[in-house]
Amino acid sequence: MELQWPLILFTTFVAWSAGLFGAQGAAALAGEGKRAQMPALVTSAVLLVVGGIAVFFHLEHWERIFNGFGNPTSGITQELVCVVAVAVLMVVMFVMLRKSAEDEAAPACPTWLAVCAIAAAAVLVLVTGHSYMMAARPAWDSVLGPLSLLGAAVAMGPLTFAVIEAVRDEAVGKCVALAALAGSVANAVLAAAYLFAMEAAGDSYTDVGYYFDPTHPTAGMADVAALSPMAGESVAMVAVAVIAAIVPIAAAVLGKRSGNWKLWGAVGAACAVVGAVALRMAFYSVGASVYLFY
Amino acid sequence: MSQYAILTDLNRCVGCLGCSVACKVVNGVEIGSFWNKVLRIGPFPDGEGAQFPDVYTYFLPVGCQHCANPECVKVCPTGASHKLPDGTVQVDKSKCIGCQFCAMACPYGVRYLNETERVVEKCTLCEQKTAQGELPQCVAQCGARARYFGDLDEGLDSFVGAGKVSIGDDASYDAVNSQFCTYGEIARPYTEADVHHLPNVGNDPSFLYILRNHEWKGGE
Repeated sequence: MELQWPLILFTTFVAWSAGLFGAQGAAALAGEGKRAQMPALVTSAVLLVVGGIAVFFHLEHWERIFNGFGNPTSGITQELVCVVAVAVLMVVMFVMLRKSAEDEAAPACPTWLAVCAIAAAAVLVLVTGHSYMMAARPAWDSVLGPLSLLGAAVAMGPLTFAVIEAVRDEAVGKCVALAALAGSVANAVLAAAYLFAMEAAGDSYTDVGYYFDPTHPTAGMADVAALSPMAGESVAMVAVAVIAAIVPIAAAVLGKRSGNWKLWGAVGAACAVVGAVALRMAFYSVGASVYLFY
Repeated sequence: MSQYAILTDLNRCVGCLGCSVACKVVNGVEIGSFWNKVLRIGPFPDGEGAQFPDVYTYFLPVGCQHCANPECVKVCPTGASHKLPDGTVQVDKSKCIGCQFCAMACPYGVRYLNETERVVEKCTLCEQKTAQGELPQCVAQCGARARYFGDLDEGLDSFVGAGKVSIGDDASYDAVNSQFCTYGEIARPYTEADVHHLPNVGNDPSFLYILRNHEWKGGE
């Protein structure tokens, strides 16, 4: 199907926002990066707003969004509930950070809040990814879809937090450095696994042999082989997605070795974002209906 | 609760596209969009090891299958896509926000965004006509009398097609819209194995296709 740019940007920015919010929760638990907490929170909130604005461009009648909104089985409703929950936690985090700012020795935020931030961020990303798990679209109907989005979040979040720490002239601690490396590895593995799952979906499409659609007499028959992520226009997207998923690993290693997180954290985070976008592009490129002929 | 559906006897369908055209006329479906289209399936060998000219082709009218367990309804955030007590799946355009998740969730790709109204639409099973005791237009205008409308709970023999069966009956335009024959009267014998559905990925499509003596293509 056509690339749905508002949705590509929405899912990527939501994952980035949630990843950063979760990373600051992890840093707070580890007692690291106190000076980076407030700028990280502001950045995370801005990313969430940017994602929210992007998705509005997808809606044809956004003015009706609260007109009976609330079917609980709808992924969009579930996403909205999670976004509101994360936004509330962000407000609470803001209040707690302001309170703890007066005392240098005090932890950035209470443990319960840090745990809630990590959990809510993870749930938001998984729910957002789960919305696209549809039996009607074999390439999408894999739990690796939401997991790969979570992979992008755990790569983008800690790397971005490391950059913010570096900008705030704060040493990047062990926990954030480890999270950046582990997150980047998880992202690369999950992105690759999801691409293989999309490739394996090729056998799930309905096959009727020869057919003809008289209403589109010049169109050829649907080509299932072209729906492979390793074929046609998807190849370039997949190549970018794979390379951009591997670079953050190297960036995290180099950042840890050199301590120059301002550079390597930024390179890693930027590549993780590009990789997430490219993977979502491939996702739409191969996302055809199980019954391809209408 | 009922489950309205359309039964298409593929051994009778001649692929005239009359159902598709009639639907566009009565429902004002925009150029380039379809609520119902007819696919030509085949030619394929008509039996194990068959060679030309022993090939077969059938015509398959495809549209919204008014599923018993519609995914489009589950994913709709506003309840715009909903299932009525008669079993049909409808879109309340005043509630639709145009997110198109229903179109993504439909296994058959029969939903689309109406670019003028900026809402999703698809076959309504001619709700405006069936509510008045008339037939869906694709059934009423089927020249081969291959399409029948009815309630699955009442059995396939109760499904009705346009006009009366005998030659002596009134065959005027008005008559075929108000006097119906039943599938039980008109159908050639068929078995359970001859009754098919489009592929089911958990949505339980309600529409039925009957194809005797030839291979059904595309799985169930």
